[in-house]
Amino acid sequence: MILTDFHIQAFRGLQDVTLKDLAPINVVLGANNAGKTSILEALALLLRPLDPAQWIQVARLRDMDIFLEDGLWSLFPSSEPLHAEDSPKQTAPLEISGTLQKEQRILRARGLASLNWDSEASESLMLRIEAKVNDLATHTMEFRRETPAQFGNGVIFHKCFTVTSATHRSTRNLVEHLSKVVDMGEKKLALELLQLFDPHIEGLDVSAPGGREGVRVSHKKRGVVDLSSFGDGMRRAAALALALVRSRGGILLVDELESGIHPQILPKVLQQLFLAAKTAGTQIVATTHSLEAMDMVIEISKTESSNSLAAYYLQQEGTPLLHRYDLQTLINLRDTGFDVR
Amino acid sequence: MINNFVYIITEGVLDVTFLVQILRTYYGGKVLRKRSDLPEKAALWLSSFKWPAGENITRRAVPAPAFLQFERKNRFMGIRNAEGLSNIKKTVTADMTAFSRMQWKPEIFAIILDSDDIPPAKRFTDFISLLQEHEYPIPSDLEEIAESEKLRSGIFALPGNKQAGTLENLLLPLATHRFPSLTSAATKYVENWLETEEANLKDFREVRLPSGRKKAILSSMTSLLKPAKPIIASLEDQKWLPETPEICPSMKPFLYFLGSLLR
Repeated sequence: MILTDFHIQAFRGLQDVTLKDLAPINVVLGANNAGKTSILEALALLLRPLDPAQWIQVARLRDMDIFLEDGLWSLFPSSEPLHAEDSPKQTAPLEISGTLQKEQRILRARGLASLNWDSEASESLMLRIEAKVNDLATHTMEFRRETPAQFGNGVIFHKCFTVTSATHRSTRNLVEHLSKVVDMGEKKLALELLQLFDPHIEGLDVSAPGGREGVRVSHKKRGVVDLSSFGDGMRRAAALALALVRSRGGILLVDELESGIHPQILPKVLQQLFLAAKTAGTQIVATTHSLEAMDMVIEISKTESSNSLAAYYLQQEGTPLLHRYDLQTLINLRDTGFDVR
Repeated sequence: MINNFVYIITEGVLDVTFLVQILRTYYGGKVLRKRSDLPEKAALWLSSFKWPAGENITRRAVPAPAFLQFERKNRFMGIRNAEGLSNIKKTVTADMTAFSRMQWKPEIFAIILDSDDIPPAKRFTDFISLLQEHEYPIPSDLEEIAESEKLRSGIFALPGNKQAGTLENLLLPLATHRFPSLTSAATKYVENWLETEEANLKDFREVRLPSGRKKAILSSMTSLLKPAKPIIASLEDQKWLPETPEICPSMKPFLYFLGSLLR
């Protein structure tokens, strides 16, 4: 298990939030706008703090169409929208820390936005992120639309994949995930999960006729068809399974655990997912709004050890209190009828 | 965060009903029947639970708290039924979790349960951890009230005076006072039956338990007072409590405890 403790000193709207004693399976609960997704985003950055692709992915988790600079800017603890047309602007610093494989890691970063960062730059906006991990030298990543930012050295990048409620709606995402999984020779789990939805599914492959990439499903009755022709639940399961395989030995972050999947099939999907995560040594941090989903998570975990599951409740208003509940407490709370969400 | 709210946890619905009657009769408590009459935090507390809970669909009773208002001190009270002694700890944990999420904490917390045939010292030590866990002041003994700057708490084991027994030890003297001939007839009926050989059969094992005889007498009485209804129906409707509690000396420790809790 990679992550044992996690602290957000400042990230987006969150301040001074601590998740202690993480378990193999973790669920973050709380009302709308409590900051559940922000916790996943902060976690994703801490795991790969000097990977520009990770910053880009996190910046676009909520809105794939957002301008990159605006998405990155909004990760910092400032409510002001980005306006650097008149003069360079600087964000308040973000700070995230945690214990990763028994090593303490602190990420401090700030963003600087300008139209005229250097004389050779075009007139387009540029965002420079200065990120510092522990006592290493500050690493600078410059984000301009056409120019890829540079990787930083000296920091371990942990495997980490995020599945949001939109991941399964992007063919590009699914193709990318499946291609990597095929290369790893491990698409069996994805198939097994899909067979929970439809036992007639026999295969899963990437196809690119005429450059048009897609995920093809071999179906006993329908023949070879595109994954996008199936319902939301099946595509979501595919996204979960593919991300799980890719995050083997790392962390899988799932926003809205129940999203897109019918409650009738959700227990089977979660059971399979948790079992596969356990086998692969993958830690899961998920969010949910659903009491039904939480009950299923508790029920599945009952057969596991008492420290297999932790739930964190994020307070909506006032001080950012985060309550932690272990498996037995969750069982007891639900037995009294307490709504743990 | 701290307020003028009293939170009491009891073992069962009969305890809740009896307590409500006492608080109405001797302490000016007014029962609140509508959600809209509750203070905001109490209403939120109620909304923190969804019943029926869990997998067991045969659990029909809704253990919602009974609420009272005491106008003299502008105080509110919620009395919770834990649905059994073994559920007290988890019910308190759930309620305290709900309070904590509201960033709120009742000023007064009391645990009221039956002594049964457990030594009083053990009853006390078994439940003291609940007060500790939720950072309430710790009383020195059963029936004592502990007080800190802002909080007050205590544990009472019925019938009181650190005696073994149950709520029925208090109800029976009240029944004797209120319905003397009925109590006498019910007592004879139960005792005559217990002398028969049939009373030793497996079917009658509950009446042979330490508190079984008293429970059987009370149930026999209420089968006439409120046919086919539980004891609580008679307790609620037929004024078991005398106007002057001194008539029933066995009530004294319990009334003293409640008086100290609410002072």
